[in-house]
Amino acid sequence: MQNRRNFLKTVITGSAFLVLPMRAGAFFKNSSTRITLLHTNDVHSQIDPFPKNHGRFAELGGFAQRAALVNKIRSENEHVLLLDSGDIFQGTPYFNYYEGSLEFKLMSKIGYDAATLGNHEFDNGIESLNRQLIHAKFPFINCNYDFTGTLLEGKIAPYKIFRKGNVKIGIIGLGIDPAGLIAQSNFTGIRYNDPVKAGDSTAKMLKEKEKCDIVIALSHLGFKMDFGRIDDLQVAASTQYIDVILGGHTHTFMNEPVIETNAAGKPVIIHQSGQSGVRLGRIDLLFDKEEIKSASKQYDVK
Amino acid sequence: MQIIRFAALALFLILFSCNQKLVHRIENHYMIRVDSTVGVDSALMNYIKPFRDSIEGIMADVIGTSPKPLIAKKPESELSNFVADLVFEAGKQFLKEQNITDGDVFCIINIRGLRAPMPQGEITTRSIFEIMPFENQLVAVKMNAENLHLLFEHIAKSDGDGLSGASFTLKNEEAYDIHIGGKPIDENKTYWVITSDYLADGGDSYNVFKKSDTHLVSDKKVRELIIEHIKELTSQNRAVEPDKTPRITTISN
Repeated sequence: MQNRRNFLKTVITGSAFLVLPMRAGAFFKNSSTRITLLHTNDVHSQIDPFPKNHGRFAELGGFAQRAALVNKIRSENEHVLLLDSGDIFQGTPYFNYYEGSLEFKLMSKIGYDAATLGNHEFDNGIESLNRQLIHAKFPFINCNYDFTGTLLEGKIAPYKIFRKGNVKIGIIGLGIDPAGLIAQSNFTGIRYNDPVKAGDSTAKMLKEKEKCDIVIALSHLGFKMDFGRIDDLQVAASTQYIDVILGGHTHTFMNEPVIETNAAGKPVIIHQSGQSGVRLGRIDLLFDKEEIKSASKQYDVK
Repeated sequence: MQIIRFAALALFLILFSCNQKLVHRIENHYMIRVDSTVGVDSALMNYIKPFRDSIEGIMADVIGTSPKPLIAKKPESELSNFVADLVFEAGKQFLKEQNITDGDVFCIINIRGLRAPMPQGEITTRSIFEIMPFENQLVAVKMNAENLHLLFEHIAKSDGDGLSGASFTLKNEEAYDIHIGGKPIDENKTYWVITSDYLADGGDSYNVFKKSDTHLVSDKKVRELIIEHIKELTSQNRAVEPDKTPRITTISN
């Protein structure tokens, strides 16, 4: 009995010893990891800056200009993700003559990590989009279009996982309902699924099975839409596993992220960077270990 | 037994510390203006240059001439008539290629979709991109007489649009004396309306087109049709000359 009591004491001190340094660890500044999210949407083939006489965006934008900016941010930050939310195509003669190949080549050179498909990616049809995809050295992500049986089958990833430092980041893509937006002949064989359902189930899998620390949705649904179309605000409010929505389609210039409460009562960050590459959105996220105290409650060693 | 329990606890804590959940928060956010202060990546600039030069070359290509500037305005104008007429001709050709011979044909294009005037003098490819920056495609919509009346009602309400192959009298936002191919609307006939996919999909509130279940979409873009037509005129040593026949006669009260 005596021995047993002594041993129990050892267990208690032992576990206290194990627990304490970890709790203290959360207070060490260097235990945080910063992930820098850079974001564009609706760049619409704006290869060059707008001309001097442009009414709204004179001398703004341009791929070589964005590249300089991104390079600088990358040189100052270890963990950077450069993401695009679609409608890369259409808007300048570059698209009319090069069918989007130049856009993809330049995005590859700038080092985009991922993009999702906007409705305008289908402007020249599936066959043309398929031909341009070989120029993209970054993945296209979408989880609510079913490409089975089309040329794009197996070429658009439902999700991608990125590891940055100790952080595991799941990225999904959400595409808009093509009805009334994309000519039917340009979308033949692709099935559109509910972005809320497909998005949340993919995000759930990324969190629970793949143990991602965060799920980011690249969305081309639009920030706020009329006529019953599902938008980013609805996705945020009706899902449980998506943490960040980087949006597009509505060309919304947000000076700061919008925080919406999701179906589990948790905050969702929504951001959109206007259009044409005249702005580059940037969000720095800090990742810290959750305090062990609350987590250890779930486990009772018996 | 106790040793096993201790070991299990220790192991659990070690494992748990490795798999410990990460929580995130926003540290900073910025919306960075991409202006001249951000600098230029010269390697990328050099990479773009030959593509830009090539595009500039195409855009600067002189495809024809216009003796005077042509503007687009409501209820009808020289530029909208010019474009409607050439789209009408292309539409008739398109229907012929589809072996469609039934029904009378006319054309409607939206004046607000013509975004710049036709310049006086030399016309470049760029001029046409400025007039028609959209990727609108030619569409033939099959319509019955009943819906045709609704269509003209809408054209009248919106103070006219670019017509070809049809005419009417506009008074108090109402359409009177509607003629298709010189004949009044035949209530038992079907008609083909040549237009753009933008209007056919209900753009500019042309919702009446959605009442038709037959939309034939061609692979011709309206801009391409304008460029081809002007090049054809040039090859015949002709300048751009809009047809002056009035299509919409406006009567003010």
